[in-house]
Amino acid sequence: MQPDADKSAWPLLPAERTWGPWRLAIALATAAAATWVYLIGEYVGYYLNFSQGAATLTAGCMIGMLLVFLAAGPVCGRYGIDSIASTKPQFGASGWVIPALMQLISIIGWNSLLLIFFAKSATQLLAVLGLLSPALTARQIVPGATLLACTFIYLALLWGASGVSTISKILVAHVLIGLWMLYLLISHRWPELTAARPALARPDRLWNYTTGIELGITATLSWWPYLGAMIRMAPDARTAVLPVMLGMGAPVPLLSLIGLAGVLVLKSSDPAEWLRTVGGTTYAIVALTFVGTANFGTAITGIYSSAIGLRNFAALERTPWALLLLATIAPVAIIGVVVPELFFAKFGTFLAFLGVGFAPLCGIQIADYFVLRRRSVSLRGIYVHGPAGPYAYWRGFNPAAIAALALGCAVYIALLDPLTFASSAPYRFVTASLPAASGAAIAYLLLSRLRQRRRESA
Amino acid sequence: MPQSLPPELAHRIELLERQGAAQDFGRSDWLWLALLGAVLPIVLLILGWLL
Repeated sequence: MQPDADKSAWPLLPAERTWGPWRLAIALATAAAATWVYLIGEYVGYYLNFSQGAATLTAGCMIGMLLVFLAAGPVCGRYGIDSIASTKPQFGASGWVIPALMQLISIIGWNSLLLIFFAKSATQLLAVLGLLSPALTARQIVPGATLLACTFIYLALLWGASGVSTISKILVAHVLIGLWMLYLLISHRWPELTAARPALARPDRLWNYTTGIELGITATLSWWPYLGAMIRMAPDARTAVLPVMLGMGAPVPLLSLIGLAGVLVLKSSDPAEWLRTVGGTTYAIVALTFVGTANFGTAITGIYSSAIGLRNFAALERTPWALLLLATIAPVAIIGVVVPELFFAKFGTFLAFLGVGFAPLCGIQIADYFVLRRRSVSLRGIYVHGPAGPYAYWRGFNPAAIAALALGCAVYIALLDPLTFASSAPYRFVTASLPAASGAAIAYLLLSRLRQRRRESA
Repeated sequence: MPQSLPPELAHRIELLERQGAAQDFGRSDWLWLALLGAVLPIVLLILGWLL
């Protein structure tokens, strides 16, 4: 393996793709199993009871995972490239900056959330250990904790993909700790859990049910930016099928049940706040340590994926890895220090916005690879930026993909307003993500055929 | 090609083109994807609605 192959956006050679299914599954499970799952569970718990919430979340997450994997998986898995490079055939040799921007916003948002969770866990842990002054709150600890976390992530990622893998092997224990916390809550509070009623449930039962599915889908759609950088380390797409579906798709709904149960019974989705009540001080110390550190696993994967995505910019192709990492992690650190509550306070809106962008993107990629190109992509074309390259389109931008993306976003917003959660009539039957993905896919195919006919007639 | 690629990248692409791209999904992979990404969610949604 060339020393810096996993720190570039260039295609990996077979000898460099050394992650087997278990290693990949562990890395993906660690990336998925951060404390954001509690927030996802919390939002579902506003509308649905425990059993319906569990069913819709699991179903939604598995559907979302399938969409993401069919979109980025085949190309990233076959050619050893990252998610951003896989969008060049659709968006063009310059148009890929649109998905790259979406990736950056998504990863900054998620990591800001994770760092706040980390700070909250650290505060709780210090309180349990009696090391915290009563005058200090989580809000005051966040800036320092953020900088500490960013420094740790930076140092770990200096080793590239092997840094991700090594940390994952340690932090995967969080999944087991999470299951233990779920067992604690269910075994101690089962009667209350089954009797609990969601606080914001609407009179329309189908609307509540569909919203549970929608939240599950959008939660896993946000894995799109992470997926390519991870599965390109596996020998091929086939090796990634079960690790992705079970390693990344399954832990999210499973661990979200902690947040779902927490908000229904204890009115708080964050176990950092209720573990001492339920399990006692010792349990709290063990769990809080893991809950806090688990966020590093996801943050490390996110920053790594984002840095690889940035490598697609010609100007950053040769930038030293340490400098590129610094540029990637800086926005997260700034948000964590300056406006830590920005993404936290509007989590539902942030989640819906991810659906608005990533659902159409997935639809376009699936249509392009399986229908339009019939599973044949030019690897050389992905890296050639001149006007005669196969993905040059119009000045490097493919109007068909951009128009289809815009249409998909419009379909989503017409069905579900991500700011207010106001919905139109069809939403309760079809969700918002699925029509947005299929609408964008159909529009992309039609516009691409139209362009092809025009070129033929010209 | 209109724009020359960095020599290391061009070498990589040549090697990969010579070997041919790996397969994406086989029949058993499609079966797993259909089971986990479509059949399981449908069953869960039906069960959840009936609860």
